[in-house]
Order: sequence, then C-alpha cells, then structure tokens
Amino acid sequence: MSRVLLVEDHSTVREGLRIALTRQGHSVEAFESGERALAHLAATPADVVVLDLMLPGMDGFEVCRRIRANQDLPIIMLTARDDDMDVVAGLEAGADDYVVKPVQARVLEARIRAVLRRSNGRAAEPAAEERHRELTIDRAALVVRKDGAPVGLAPTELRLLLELSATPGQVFSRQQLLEAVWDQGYLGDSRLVDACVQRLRAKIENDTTAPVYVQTVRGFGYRFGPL
Amino acid sequence: MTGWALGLRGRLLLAFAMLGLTTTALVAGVSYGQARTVILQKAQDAAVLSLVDEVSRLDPVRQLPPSPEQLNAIAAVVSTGPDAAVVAYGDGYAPSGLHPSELPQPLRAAVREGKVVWQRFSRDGTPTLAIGTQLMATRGDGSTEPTGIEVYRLHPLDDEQHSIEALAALAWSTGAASLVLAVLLALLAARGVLRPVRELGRAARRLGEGDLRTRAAVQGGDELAGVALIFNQTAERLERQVGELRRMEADARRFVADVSHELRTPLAAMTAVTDVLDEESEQLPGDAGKAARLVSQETKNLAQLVEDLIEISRFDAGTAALSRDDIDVAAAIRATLRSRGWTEEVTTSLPDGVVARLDPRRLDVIVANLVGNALRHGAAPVTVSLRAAAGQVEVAVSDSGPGLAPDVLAHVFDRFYKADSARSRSDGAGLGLAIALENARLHGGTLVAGNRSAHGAVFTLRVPTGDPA
Amino acid sequence: MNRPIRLLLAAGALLALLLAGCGVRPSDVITGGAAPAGAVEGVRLYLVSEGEPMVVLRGLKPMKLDDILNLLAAGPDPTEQQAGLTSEVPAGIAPVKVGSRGDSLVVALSTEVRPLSVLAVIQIVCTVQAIAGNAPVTLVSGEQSRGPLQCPALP
Repeated sequence: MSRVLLVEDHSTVREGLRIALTRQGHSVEAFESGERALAHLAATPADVVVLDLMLPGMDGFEVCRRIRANQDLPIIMLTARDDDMDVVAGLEAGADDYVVKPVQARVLEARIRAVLRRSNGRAAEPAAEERHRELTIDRAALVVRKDGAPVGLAPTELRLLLELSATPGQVFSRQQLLEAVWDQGYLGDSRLVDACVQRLRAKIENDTTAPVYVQTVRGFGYRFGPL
Repeated sequence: MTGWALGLRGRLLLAFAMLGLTTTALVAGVSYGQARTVILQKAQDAAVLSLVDEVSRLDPVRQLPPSPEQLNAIAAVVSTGPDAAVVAYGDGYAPSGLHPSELPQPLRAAVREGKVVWQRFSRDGTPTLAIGTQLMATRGDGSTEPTGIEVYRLHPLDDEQHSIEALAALAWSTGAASLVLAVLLALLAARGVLRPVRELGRAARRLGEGDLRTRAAVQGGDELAGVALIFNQTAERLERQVGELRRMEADARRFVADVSHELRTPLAAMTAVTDVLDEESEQLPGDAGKAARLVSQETKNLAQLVEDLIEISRFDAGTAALSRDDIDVAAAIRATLRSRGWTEEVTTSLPDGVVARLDPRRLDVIVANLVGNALRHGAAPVTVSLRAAAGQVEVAVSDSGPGLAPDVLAHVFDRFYKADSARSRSDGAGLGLAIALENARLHGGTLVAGNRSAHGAVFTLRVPTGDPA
Repeated sequence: MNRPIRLLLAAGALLALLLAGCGVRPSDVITGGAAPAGAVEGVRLYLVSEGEPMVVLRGLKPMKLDDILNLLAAGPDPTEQQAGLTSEVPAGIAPVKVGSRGDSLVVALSTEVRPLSVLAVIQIVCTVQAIAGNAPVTLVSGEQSRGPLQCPALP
C-alpha cells in the first residue's frame, strides 16, 4: 500500500480524488496548500505526490522544486490542459509526469503505478556495477555515481538512464521511451521525455551543451553514448 | 466594328481635338475665303480701272473699220505697262505679242455686248486675269454704240496667288497649332479628372481587399470630391460595423471559452469518482444502480464535450499549438486502435517505415474520430490504410456502409452537425469531425470526405511529412 | 455608326472642303460696268456686220446729209468689205433729198420705201440721226412712207 500526498486547493476536486485514490488502495493525505503539504512531508514520508499547479500562496512549481531539493520522491502534476507553458515549467521543476483535469480515477491510478514501478526498480537485475567513463551505474542497488560521488536522481530520471544505458549506442525514439519509462506509448506527451533528458543531463553531464552520456540523435530520439 | 472602348482620356482628347479642328477650320476657312476675295478683287479692280482709263483717253477714232495704223496706235497705248495686250477688230488685230486666240473664248463673246468684262484663267500654269472691253463711240444723242474695236489685256495674278497661298499656309499652321493646343488642354483636363478617379479606384480596391482603414483624399468641392466624401463615410461605417461584428464574435468565443473553463472544476471533481459510481452501481438496488451508472456515463460525456469545446475555442482564437515529433505513423495508428480496443474490428493496411513529423496526440484524435465514426455510422468492414506520397502522408478510413448523402457530404465537417438529427446523444455533440479537420489544417494538411465507388464512405487525411527538405 | 467613326468622317469632309477652295481659281466671265467711250471724228455711216447695224467712219471732211446718204447707197468700200461689212441699202435710193416737216425729218428716196428691209431702214435712219440729232425720221417715196422712226439704242 502506498502513501499518496495530494495537494489540491478545490475542495470538491480534492475530495473526489481522495475518494478515488483511497478506493484504489492508497493511503491518501490531502492538503489544500503547498505550505501545509511541505510541513506534513517533513514529518511524515510519502511514496508519491499528486500536486496541483494552481495553488494559493506557494505555487505548485515552488512546491515541486522544494520537494526535489530534499528527496527523490515521484511527483505527478495536475494541470488544466490549456496551460501548456505550465506543463513545461512543471516538468523542468522536476515533475515526473502530468495528468490533465478532469481526470478519471483509473488514468491517475495507472500513472501512479507506473511512477511507483520506476522508483521501486527491479530486483532481478544482475548485481554488477557498470563503468562508463566517470559514471558508475549499479543496477541492483539503483545507485548512480559520478566520479565516485552519488548522484541524486529522481525515479523517472534513474529509470530513463537505466533504460538507455542497458543497450549503449542503441537509439530509442521518444515513443519507445514513453512506453518503456512512462508506460504511455504513442498517447503520451513527448515533452515528458525531453524534460527528463534535460534534468538528467544537468545532473550527469560535464557540459550540457555537448552531452556525452545522453546524446540526441536528430530525427530519431536519444541514445546512451557512444563514449 | 463594335465600338472601341475609349477611355475618358481618349474621349476628351477626341472631343477637344474635334472642337479645335472644326472651330479653327471654320474661322480660318472663312477668313481665308474672305481675304482671298478681297485680294483678288483689289487686284482685278485696279487692273480693270487702269485699262478702262487708258481706253477712255484714247485719241478719237477717225476711221472705222480702223486702219492698221490706228489699231497699232491704240495697241501701243495699252501696251505701255508690263501686261500683255491686244487690240482686235473683227478677225483682225494689231500684232503685239499676244494673239487673240490665247484669250478665253467666252470673254471674246461677252466683249461684244458693250460692257467691260474680265475672266480669270490659267495661262501656262499662271493664274491670269483677262480683261476685255469695247471702245464705244458716243452718238449725238449721248448714247454710245460699239465701234467694234476690242481691247484686251492680260494681267498675271501670280503675286496675288502667292499672297493667297501664304494666307492658306497661315491657316493650316494655325489649325495645326490649335490642334496641338487642344490636345494639350485635353490631356490636362483628363489628368485633372483621371487622377482623382484613379485614386478613388485604388482606394476602393484596397477596401475590397480588406483594408478597412482606407480613405480617399478629398480635394476641392466638385462631384469627384463628393464621391470621395461618400466613399470615406461608407468606409468608416463599414470599418465600424466590421469592428463591431469582430468584437461580438470575439466576445462570443471568449464566453464559450470562459464557460468551458468554469465547467472544468466541477467536472474534475465528478470525473474523479465516476469509477467509484460504476463499481458501486452493481451493489445498488434497481433504479439506484441505473441512476448511478447514468450519472457516471453522462459525467464522462459532459467532460468530453467540455474538452471539445475548449479545443474548438483554441482553434478559433489561434492559440492551438503543434508539438511535432518524429513518429512512425503506422505504429502510432496501431497504438490508437489498441488503446480503444478496436484492433480486432478494423482491417489495416499500415506499411512500416513511414515516418513523419507530426503531433502524435492530434493524430490520435483524428484517427480515433474517423474510425469511431466509421464503426458507429458506417458498417463493417472498416479499413484504415496508410500511404506515403510525395512529401505527404495519406491516411484513409473507409467503411462499407450506406455512404454519405450529397446534402450530408456538404455539411459533414460543420460544427454540431449530425447527419441524423434523431441520433442519440451518446454519439457525441457533433464536434468530432470539426476538431479533426482543424487538427489536420494545423499540420498544414487536409481532411476530405467522400464516397467509395461501390458503397461506403471514405475519409482521407493528407498531411505533409514535415521534412525540412 | 458609332460616335468616333462619325466624328472622323465629319472632319474629313471639312478638310476636303478646305482643300477644294485653295488658291486662285479660274472663273466665269464677270461683267463690270459700262465700256469706256471715246469721241469719234469723221463721217458716220451705218453698215451691217453679222446681222447687226455697225457704225463705220469715213475719214472725210464733213459733208451734207444728202451726200452722206448717197455714200451709204454706194455700200461698203473694199476695206469695209474685207472687214466683213455689208449693206442692205439698195444703191437705188440715191439720189436722196432731205427735207423737214415740222419736227421730223423727211427723207425722199428714189426707190420704193416699202420693200426696204428693217436693217436697211435702220441703216438709213441711224445715219441720218448721227448727223441730224434725235428728230424722228420719215422715209418717203412717192405715196409710200415709213416712219416717223428713231435709231434704236445700240448695245
């Protein structure tokens, strides 16, 4: 059973989502403002955050950034679809995924499941450390080190890196990555992939303008290396 | 020859030229005629009087028929000037360098009647005046009778001819000058009229092309200025009315957008719990269960409708954004079918390797709508085919149903249009094809509806591949 | 015909008119005033030229009317004949005796008066009046008489 931290200022929407998520078997803590949610999080850990962008007081982006600063908690944004700028800004702030309101419970549930899968990882990976230049990837422990120091990656970023580095040199299209990492295939928003790649590069690349580990292949997608 | 179309300038030119020419011709012609008469008359009168004077001063005639000496004497008197003369009596004459046969015959015949006569004729190419007179003898009772002695003199008129020709030349040159002047005046007048007319024409064309701020320059106070003024007033009214209409249209659109947004919030809450209602409805007795399922279903429909409305208003406002990605079109279509569970129901012809730079979400919307319509309103088998043409990708969805009637075909992409008005609401509000069309257009492509030759409808989507080449 | 064609035709006609009236044109015979007259000296007789009475001058000293009429009876002399002059006065009228009766003159001829032609009569009468003035003239011969007559005004 996973703990969901829900931040949504509209009372009825909050109540509706709480009901739906509870029925799915999650333990839901619902807050109407970012400050109260952060305060609760400091005391009580959660497994996933469902965060509305339009909040009174501290807005959703700030909440997202603050959470990211402290921990690698999966964050799903709630957004109204016309705010396309907000989607991009939210992804850049560190959100793993987003859903558009109104959203059916089962859609949200699928996203939560997918993002939890990313953070829980797979135990069946071979227990080996891979060295790629300055990067060390431990698939079993789900730890990534750069020059020996651990790099703090959000679950989705880690999942993406694992997916790409599993077959170095192979090009993955955005759709393939959406399918593999976000479980969304052709119906997903390719900006999820782009934003995630950007965040990943910011953390592991020496020079983000000339990326070495996560390279763009124009017209095709992304690949790991070649180094 | 059916009439030439002469422009304003041409007509003015012609009119002025005609006027100038006719007036000049009349005036010059008349004065020339008068002057010529006067010149000739003066010359003639002078010559005649001179001859008559000389003849009347002759010495008295002593013998009739006159002796040759007498005739010679007379001839000598009248030949003293530069003009040739001859004196004749009957068939005889005094030799003097002019032979009577050179005189015009009608003149000789008239001389016998006892009056002074003259006649102009051409002598070796020179216009010449022939003057002839009898010498009369006075009788005891004071009356006169012809002596039979005829005196003739030839006075050349070439000087007069030159003067008259000079006059004629003057008349011609005046005519030419007046013609030139008339043409210049015509051009001037034409320009004065044509320029404002052309300006007005240009302003009208600009107005027609959509620039409602066009105004014509009002110069002066004549009819053209009046037309320009009316034009400006009309343009201003048009501008105001169009502005009014645009504002009303924008207000209406904004209203729809605002309403739709406001509807989202309650819908978000309701949508979140439709699954709960669906699950619990099985436990609810009879009508309560039906009621729960009904509310759940209609909430989903309402949510879809609101999303469609917001999508449409984004297209209208021009804020719909395209987020292109390189996708394998066949795989995308298959994913669409799979996500809606249509893989078994639809026949496909989707060759791999057709890559295009499209917005995958919007492509999904289009394909889902077309296939959904085919399944719902057409009849199986429904086929989705993909084809790559020059720089374009073509997706065709066809069914084997009754096809589209001509009046339906004309309106099928209209908003809120439902071919069968009795169709149930569960089929949607009638916005699906309108949204699909806008999505196609956003990509720079087309969506056309038609009928297959056998039976059934076919909807064809064509979008450019978006290759930078 | 449409307007431009008509206008051009009118212009052309006008032009043609103008051209036709140029320069000094030959004319018919124009009649002026009366021909000049001069005095004559000598003996006047009236002969006939081309069917019209024609005056003839003989360069002679002035003589009596009777003698002039006798000259007339003699007819044209060779020069006159060459000039085409004739006479219808018979030679037989001579000798002539001129007398007066009241205002008019009486000329007694030696031949019969009645058979004389009109021209002959005119010749005689005009010859007489050229000397004697405007008094009417009567020609007699025996019982026959013609007159009183006047010499007709000659053109």
